[in-house]
Amino acid sequence: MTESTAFSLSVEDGIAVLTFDLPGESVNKFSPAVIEEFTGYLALLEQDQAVRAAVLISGKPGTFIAGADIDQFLAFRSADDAAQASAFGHTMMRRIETGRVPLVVAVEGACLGGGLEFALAAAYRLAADTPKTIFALPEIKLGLIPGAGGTQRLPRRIGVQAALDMILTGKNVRAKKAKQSGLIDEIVHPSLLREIAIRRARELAEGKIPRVRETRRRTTMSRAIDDTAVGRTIVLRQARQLAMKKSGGNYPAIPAAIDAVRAALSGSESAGYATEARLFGQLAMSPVCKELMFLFYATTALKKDAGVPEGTVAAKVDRIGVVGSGFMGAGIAAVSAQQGIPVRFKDTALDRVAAGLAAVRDVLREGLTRKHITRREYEDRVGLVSGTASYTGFGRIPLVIEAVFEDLGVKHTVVRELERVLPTDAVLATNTSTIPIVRIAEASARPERVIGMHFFSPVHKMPLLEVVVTPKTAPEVTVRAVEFGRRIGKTVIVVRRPSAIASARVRRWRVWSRPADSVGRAGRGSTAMTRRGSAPGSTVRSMRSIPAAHGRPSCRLMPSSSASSSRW
Amino acid sequence: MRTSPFGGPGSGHRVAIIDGVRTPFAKAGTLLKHLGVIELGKLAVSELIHRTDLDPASIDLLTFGTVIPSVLAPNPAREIALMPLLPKGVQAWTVSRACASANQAITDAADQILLGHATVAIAGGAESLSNVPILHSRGFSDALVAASRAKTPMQRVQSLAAIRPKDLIPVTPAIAEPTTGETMGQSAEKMAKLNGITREAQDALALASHHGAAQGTADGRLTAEILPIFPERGSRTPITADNGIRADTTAAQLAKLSPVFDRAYGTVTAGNASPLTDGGAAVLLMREDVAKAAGLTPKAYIRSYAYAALDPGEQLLQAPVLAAPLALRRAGLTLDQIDLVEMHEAFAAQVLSNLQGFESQRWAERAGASKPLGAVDRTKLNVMGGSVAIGHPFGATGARVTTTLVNELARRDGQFGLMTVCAAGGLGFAMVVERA
Repeated sequence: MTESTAFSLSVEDGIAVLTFDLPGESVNKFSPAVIEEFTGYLALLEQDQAVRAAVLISGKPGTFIAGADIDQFLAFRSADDAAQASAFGHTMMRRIETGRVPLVVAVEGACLGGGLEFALAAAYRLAADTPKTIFALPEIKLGLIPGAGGTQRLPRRIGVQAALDMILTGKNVRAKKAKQSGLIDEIVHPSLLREIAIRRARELAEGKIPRVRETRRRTTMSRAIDDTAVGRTIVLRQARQLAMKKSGGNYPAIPAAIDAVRAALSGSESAGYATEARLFGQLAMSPVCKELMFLFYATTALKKDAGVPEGTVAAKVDRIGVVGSGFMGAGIAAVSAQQGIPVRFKDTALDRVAAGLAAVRDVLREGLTRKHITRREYEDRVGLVSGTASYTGFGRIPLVIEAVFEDLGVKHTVVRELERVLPTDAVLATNTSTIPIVRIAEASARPERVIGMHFFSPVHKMPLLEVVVTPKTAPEVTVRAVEFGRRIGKTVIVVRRPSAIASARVRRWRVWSRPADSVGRAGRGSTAMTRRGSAPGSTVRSMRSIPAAHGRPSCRLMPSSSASSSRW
Repeated sequence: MRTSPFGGPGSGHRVAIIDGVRTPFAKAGTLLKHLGVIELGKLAVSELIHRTDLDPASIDLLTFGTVIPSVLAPNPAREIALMPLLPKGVQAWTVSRACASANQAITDAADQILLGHATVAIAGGAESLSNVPILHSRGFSDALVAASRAKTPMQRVQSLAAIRPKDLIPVTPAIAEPTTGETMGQSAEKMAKLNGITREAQDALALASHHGAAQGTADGRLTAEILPIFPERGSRTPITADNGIRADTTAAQLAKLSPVFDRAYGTVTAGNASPLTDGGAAVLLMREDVAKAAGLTPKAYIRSYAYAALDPGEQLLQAPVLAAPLALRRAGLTLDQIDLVEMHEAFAAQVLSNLQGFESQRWAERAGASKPLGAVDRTKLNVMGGSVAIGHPFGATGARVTTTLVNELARRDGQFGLMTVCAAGGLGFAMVVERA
């Protein structure tokens, strides 16, 4: 065993509780060292006859296991190398699944990628009832498929349709949904998590809970799909057709994932795992995966670099103004309201504001339709957006984003009107994509407070936000814009020079780095991939060339603050 | 010890009325029928916060008036305060004083400020007469309760079998006095007869109300206090004005309407009474020094207020005649010093009875005054119409009247304003506001 102490063990009355708390990291993740330490504990528990069952719980508040450390993926030298790593994972998971000591996982917070594959191998999955408790297999976003048995155990656990939905989109599944689908066994209040986990472990040891059991509610339809060769074939074929259509065939991980799931449902168990390992190996060496991982690193490496003096503190944006109630303005208002930020929505006439508010409601209603939010939450969010045809309510607003017609004269008028009503330290952001910010700032009496915030349409689906600074833009202004962008869940890039090329390239990257928008959900985001589905390599090379072309880094990637996508 | 301008102990500061905002007032069952008391209140409070550029974190309390409460949300003020715009730590309670409920909210908030318990308060009211709870009959309720307590299915069937056809008729709350059984309209009818208020005089007042409100709507003075509503259902056309105001109504048209409450000899018609209305209104109150420190310019300050009551069986809506002299005395003012009067118009007959009472020696003595207040200069009374035209959402009217008064007083650069509100139960309210 190594020096690292990611785990701590206590045994009480025959039940072992293993606490996972990776030192020096904000989240728990699997690395070779961690796996080595864990298997050491596993051996220890297997040998100790006094231990009858075990619980694995996270010592980190808000996260369970965020997945595998992707550093190890970069170390693969060949497809065989990667496939072997996958097979190694299979061995460990199999040991957890069939070993003498049944394991209960007590999940509070993110349970992602390898973390979920681990949980699937356990004998009992208990989850805390918190909004942060989410389950996902996000490997597809890196151009990979789950490599530690996820494509095999998940379809058997929750059925082929639900499994494909998770594997092909990488989407987050909340605890309640996970319970409904049979992914987990039970949900409890977080304060009871440990206690109930120990109780369930004891019941497993006593045989009161069988180690192998069905956790989903079976319907006739689910049986028809999962338990008949015809049903499975139809579903897999449909998934393949849909995914290929939406990805334009540019995303090898999608057919690979479908093939792996097919292998899970037909033929022997060992053949299924072998298929998963082989496909994982191939994908790990594919150009798409390499480029996506490069971009992931680029994003992470530049995480803290806003291009402003270190320690610049910005005022918190507690409400925003949006001028111009067109599609962009409405999108910006909607994503702000989604994050609980009040919006003052201004246009020249109230019927235009009404149209904009209707568009805001349409965006917010999607959450209601998908049951992500309750009606009460929907109404609260709608209530955060108020409309006006005058500039009342702008006197205390710390950030205004104008999204009016792309005409320099109109923009200048809006800048002058705004500066008459805004507090002097407000940030005036312009959502232009065609007019240089410097030109717009010409109308400003306070050009240091002017900045570009270039959103992409549709705002609620496109993850990218380009913050364009002028030579005059004050550092605090940049930080305020960047922090706001992150708060509304955007990946923020600070662009020093207006560079349409950079945004176009990065936009393209984001489009195919998020198959979630492309495969799983029908919608506006999904068509983008086909349209821009060029070979990924060229795009990334262009990105790499940007700093050189300008002689200095002109493009900084700033990932959104959402932790769920940071590790696999 | 510092004393309050109202005469009691207090913080020694005046209470500033910073601004007021209201929804459009819409006849019940029309434009606002999908919005309940809580939604109407939230809309008014949210817009008030935005328009005044108020930091929501500074708000200490929110109190709201409503007359017909929802059984499901008995403290609507708290539900309003729980909208995400406000911090969760805002005190909130609901008050009820019939048609003066919003006034009760405003004076409660003012008292809290004067006591030094608060510095920033939102007070208002809302009413949705489109969403009146319809109740089951007593017999039906009894059967349901008995059934819920039944121990066997047979007992349950027996309990429910006790329901008689007449029990199935729902009970709609009437606007009637519990003590006398008299409806509002009947009370107004009685007042018209007791005080000799003619049909013509009532119709003339109603006409003035509609024309004044129409003028205020056309020139934007009245609509300045209205927030636009962007309907979620039906037409998406923003609602920006009250829908009960009839700019084109004439004396002849009003004269054609039949009396409602006394078909044979009555004078009160649908035309000279306030309609059933939906709406919400809110007012921002602050301690004078806190408002100044925040850079806010108050529209006016509360100088004094008074409540009064009389026997509901007598003249139900005549208590403003007792409250107004008291409020003026507390303000140290006389009626001739008042630049503008806003009198809530439940019925034209009530307004004219109240005005007559102001001039009456008998009523002056009942109010404890040696001589009558005197005649109200009609050019200073309800200059943009009143509740007859604008509408009367019971819980909201007091905040509407306050807002209308302080806005118009400022426009006219007047010094003192008086408002009165009559209320069910024989209650009356009066308040004096001052500028600068």
